[in-house]
Amino acid sequence: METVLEILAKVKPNVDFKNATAIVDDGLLDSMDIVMLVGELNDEFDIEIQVTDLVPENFNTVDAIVKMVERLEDED
Amino acid sequence: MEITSLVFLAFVGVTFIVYYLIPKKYQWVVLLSASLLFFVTSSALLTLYMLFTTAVIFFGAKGIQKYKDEFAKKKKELPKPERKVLKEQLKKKQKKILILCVAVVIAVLVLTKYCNFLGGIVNGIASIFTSTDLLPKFNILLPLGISYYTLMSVSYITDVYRGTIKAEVNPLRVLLFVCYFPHIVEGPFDRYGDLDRQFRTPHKFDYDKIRHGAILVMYGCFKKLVIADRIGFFLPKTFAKIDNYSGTAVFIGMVLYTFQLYADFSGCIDIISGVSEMFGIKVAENFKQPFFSKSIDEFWRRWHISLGAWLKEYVFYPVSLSGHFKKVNTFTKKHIKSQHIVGFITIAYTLFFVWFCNGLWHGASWLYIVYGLYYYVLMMLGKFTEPYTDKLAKKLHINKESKGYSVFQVARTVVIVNVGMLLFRSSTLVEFGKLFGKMFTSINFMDFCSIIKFQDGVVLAVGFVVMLLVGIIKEKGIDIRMWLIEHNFVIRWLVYYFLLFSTIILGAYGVGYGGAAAIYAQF
Repeated sequence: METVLEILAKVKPNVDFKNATAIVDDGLLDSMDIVMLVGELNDEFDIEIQVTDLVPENFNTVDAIVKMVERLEDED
Repeated sequence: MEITSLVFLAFVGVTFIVYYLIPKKYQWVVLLSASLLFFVTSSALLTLYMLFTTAVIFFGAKGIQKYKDEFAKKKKELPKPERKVLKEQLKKKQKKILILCVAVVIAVLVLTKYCNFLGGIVNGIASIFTSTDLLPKFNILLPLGISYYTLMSVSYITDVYRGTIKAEVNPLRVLLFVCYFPHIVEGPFDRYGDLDRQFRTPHKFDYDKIRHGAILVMYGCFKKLVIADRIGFFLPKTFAKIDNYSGTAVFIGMVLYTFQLYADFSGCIDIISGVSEMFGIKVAENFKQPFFSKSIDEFWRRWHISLGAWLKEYVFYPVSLSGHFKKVNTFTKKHIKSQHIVGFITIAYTLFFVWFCNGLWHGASWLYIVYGLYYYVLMMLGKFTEPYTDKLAKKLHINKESKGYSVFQVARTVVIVNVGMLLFRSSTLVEFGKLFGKMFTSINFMDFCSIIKFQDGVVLAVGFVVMLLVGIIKEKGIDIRMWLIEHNFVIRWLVYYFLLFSTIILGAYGVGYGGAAAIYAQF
């Protein structure tokens, strides 16, 4: 959780991601930010996020991002 | 068959009657028959191109699905390491099929739509060495909506590859998706999963839903015939004889062309969406009050939405997750300390492909590519300067959340889009440069009257007010059509009569009481 929050802060500073419930739907992250975030997550957790994973449900909360990362780590 | 013609109206009417009379399980067959009839009457033998593309993606998707099913069957019996190996092996095979099929359908598009453009490039390079053209010009006829159905076909097979949908076993259902007559003329770009689900649902005659669609058709006809076609009658003359006019005329022409293109394209999409709604099928949204946008990014999320969505899904994301992108990202991270610059370079790299494709999709010419890159450069400039303009705004005590600043942002976007439209309307880059320069050097306000006749001006002003009001109401999240349906009888029928009679009386008609061709149908 903490690592994901650090990465989010690096991609887009000054946003309260911790309490956000609709990061993508509320426009806190746009598709360009998502791409940056995916690059960072891939590097940090050694996972491969696929195009099919790039849906708002996987990025709307920090919890959802963590769950996606865990699922992809498990798949490997 | 123009979608604003009486023939189209009769065609939709007959299809509509048969659609609701026939047993519901055959409703999709009615739509398929109508779509094929629509396609054949417009494209005759060229329909074979569309059938070929459909066959390629149908069999390709089936091949991909076969490997997916094989993996699903075998994976339970295998331990994890072997399962991974098998997955990789089968994925490679699926990828080969995908690449081959996409290459074939794109090749058909390139050979028909872009061959003279590519030939021109080859001849241009060859002209360094020889004075004669290496490649001749071909006069190739294009089937209806090739740019639209090709990209939708690519989306179908890619979605099967990604596993978001299963390959269809009935080729006729894929054919219906590809040639569905409401979206074949000028989009929107639908996704197979969204449409097929609705094609399979039985649709009973629902008066409210049909009215909901019919109001949209009437409003679309109003925008297309009263506004767009009226401007279309006098504006081309202005651009053709631009040397006789001043920069003021160019400015008015630019604004009117933007208005025309928006009324034309969104009007046609409204007609198409409304017709489809009358069959109980909702096509993808294509416009969301684009001229209320505060930035260029936002404008393109509200204008031709389905093209933007297609480019995001099938160009932006794949490029962003590609090995190339990773290399660029790693390289910049290694050599540049600033997170802002790293982010900027990687995004600039990816978005270049998106905007290049956006421009190229509009037409086989350098001008359209420049048109796409015009937005790319402006967007990148905005992205690059964002932290600095934020700092500057803080220093100057400008509240970026204020109403005044929002108005400034909207006005800025409108200006940028209008200049983009002037580029889009110009025949060559030189002409654009000439027109753009003229706006600042030759000012004569009297030219206003020489371009627009008084009666045209009044009609356009009314049209503008109607569109603005509808836009404001929709922007507030109100479903204006539902509001109208639920409203009292008098108001409702006043609106119906206004739309109907203003279109009949004030519409600008050509020969045979038909409207002008839809501008975006040529792309």
